[in-house]
Amino acid sequence: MNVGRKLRLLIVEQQQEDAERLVAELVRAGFEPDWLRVETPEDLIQGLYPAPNVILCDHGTPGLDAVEVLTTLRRHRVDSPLIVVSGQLDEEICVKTLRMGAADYLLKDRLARLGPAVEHALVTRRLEIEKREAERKERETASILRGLVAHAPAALSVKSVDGTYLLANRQFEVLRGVPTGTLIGRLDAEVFPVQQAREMTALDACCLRDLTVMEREEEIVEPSGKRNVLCIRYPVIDDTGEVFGIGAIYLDITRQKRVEAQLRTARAEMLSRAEMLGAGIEQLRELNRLKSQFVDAVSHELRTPLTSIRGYLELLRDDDVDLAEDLARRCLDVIDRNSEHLMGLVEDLLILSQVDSADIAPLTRPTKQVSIPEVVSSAVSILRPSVQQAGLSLSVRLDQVVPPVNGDRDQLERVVMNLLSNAVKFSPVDAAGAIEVSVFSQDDSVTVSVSDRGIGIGAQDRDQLFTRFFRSVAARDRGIPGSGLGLAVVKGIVDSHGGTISVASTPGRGTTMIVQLPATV
Amino acid sequence: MAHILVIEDDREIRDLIALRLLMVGHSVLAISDAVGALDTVDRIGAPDLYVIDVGLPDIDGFRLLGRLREVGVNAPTIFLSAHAQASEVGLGTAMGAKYLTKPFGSRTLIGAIDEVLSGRDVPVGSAE
Repeated sequence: MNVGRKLRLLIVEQQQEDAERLVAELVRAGFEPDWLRVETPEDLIQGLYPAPNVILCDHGTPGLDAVEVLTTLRRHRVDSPLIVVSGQLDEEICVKTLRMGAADYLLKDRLARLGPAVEHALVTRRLEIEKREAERKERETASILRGLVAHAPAALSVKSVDGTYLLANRQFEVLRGVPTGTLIGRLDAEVFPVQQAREMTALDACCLRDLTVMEREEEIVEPSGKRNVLCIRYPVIDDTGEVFGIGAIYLDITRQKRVEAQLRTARAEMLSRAEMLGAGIEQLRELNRLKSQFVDAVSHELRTPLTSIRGYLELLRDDDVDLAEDLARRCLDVIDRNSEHLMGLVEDLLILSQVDSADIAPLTRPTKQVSIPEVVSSAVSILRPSVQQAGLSLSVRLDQVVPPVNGDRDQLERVVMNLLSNAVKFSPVDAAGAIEVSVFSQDDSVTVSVSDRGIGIGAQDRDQLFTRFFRSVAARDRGIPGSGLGLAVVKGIVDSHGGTISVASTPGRGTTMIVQLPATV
Repeated sequence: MAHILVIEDDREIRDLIALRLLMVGHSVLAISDAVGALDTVDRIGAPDLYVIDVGLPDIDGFRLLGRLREVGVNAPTIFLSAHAQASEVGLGTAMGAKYLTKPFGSRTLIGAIDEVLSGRDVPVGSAE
């Protein structure tokens, strides 16, 4: 079975037989036409929808000649190929219709040409569509690229192999600081300073030689300032594989670089702060540990005298025990002594607490001008009985004129009393005449020194002498009473008065404690 | 009653304990330091009970008990201490001794002694 090629055909023709002849001719040429004959403008328009593959038009149709039909086609934007079929040759019409877009011009008496003519028209038509499509695509691609080049947040350029600029977007001109539209057709050497141009040319040459994509960070110095850029250079290769240029993409990474640097700084700063915080936390932990230690020590020091007080009170109150009068008196003495000791302890603790808080808020207590000779005389008169009781003697030397000291009188008296009672406690009974107290002024300070010829302080105890609750081995071994707070209190008070304390001691020979206080001007 | 060795460096407290123990019929030897205590047991052997102050000036009470056990003069022990921290109390009880925190009443001390001597709920520690 011979199946022809399907063909939607519109025939503009007054004569049915003529139309049939055309169809027959096409069938003979191997087509299978699905055809419609029209002879009025209205029918023509109807016949254009859907658009036929081919239109055959008898030029002689009254009111609907080939020119008219071509005009209608154009108006309706139908681009089906139209072949004019005419009874007689009219050269003028022939030229006119061909100019208006007719695909061919045939004479009715030479219809053998009809088949090839339709064939040719269809092929031409297809080629035309393809060409138009290709052109459209090309235009589209070009606009896409133009948009990209114009709006990319990057400076772009393309140079030919010999270095002539083929393309440079506005961003490139701004980045490189050249006026708009001055680059195309020119060389780097014609536009940029020698050094810069040379560098760019060398990099381009590198890219062309290796035929690879090169990526490097560069610094561009422009009148507006220094910019950091990331430059990507690539060889531009056409579809035949031939290199015809060098493309360059510059990304401005100045901001990124700056942020990176800031981040680095911030990070370093954060780390050092974290370190500081860590040290602070460590310090607080240590303080907390010291505080616990202190509370433990205080509790320990309070418990011992309380044990005596409680035990001897119990003894006195015990109905089952009938104590002789002198024994009862001894109990009371023990209670009295231990109560005194507790009182002293509490007072020492209070003073330490005061000087501790003075570290934080100085001068929380009102200060007055204090005469140190007076303070020393007062302390000596209080302690003289116990000095004598211990079988020791005491000599006091006071300078005639000593400037006053700014401070707390009671606390300063406490300093002298503690030093003096230490001198008594640590002097053996046979060191008669040993204790010397002197006060003198020197430059802008007042000095108090207390010397004894007692047991002295061993080298191993020097460092800890002013530590709270520290008791020397000698003191413990000899059963010398004390809480280990006396010198801590002295040091605390002297420090809070802006003074200094120093120790000179030889074990077995004696000790001299020297306190220096700033005098009021 | 019992032979009790009291080792306490504070003279007033030592005298008080000795007096109290004598009053309830114990025989008491009161010593002020660890070295003296070791000397004494070396001469007269182990007592029925030790009362040891932890805060002795020469050797602390825990070590003293350790030494006493080493030389084979073990006896039930009551520690006395002005330290009330759990770690210290724990150390004392871990050694199988009773631990009294100062200040304590005489009744507490005598009660503790009775308890230890009657062997109730206080295990008499052995080193191993």
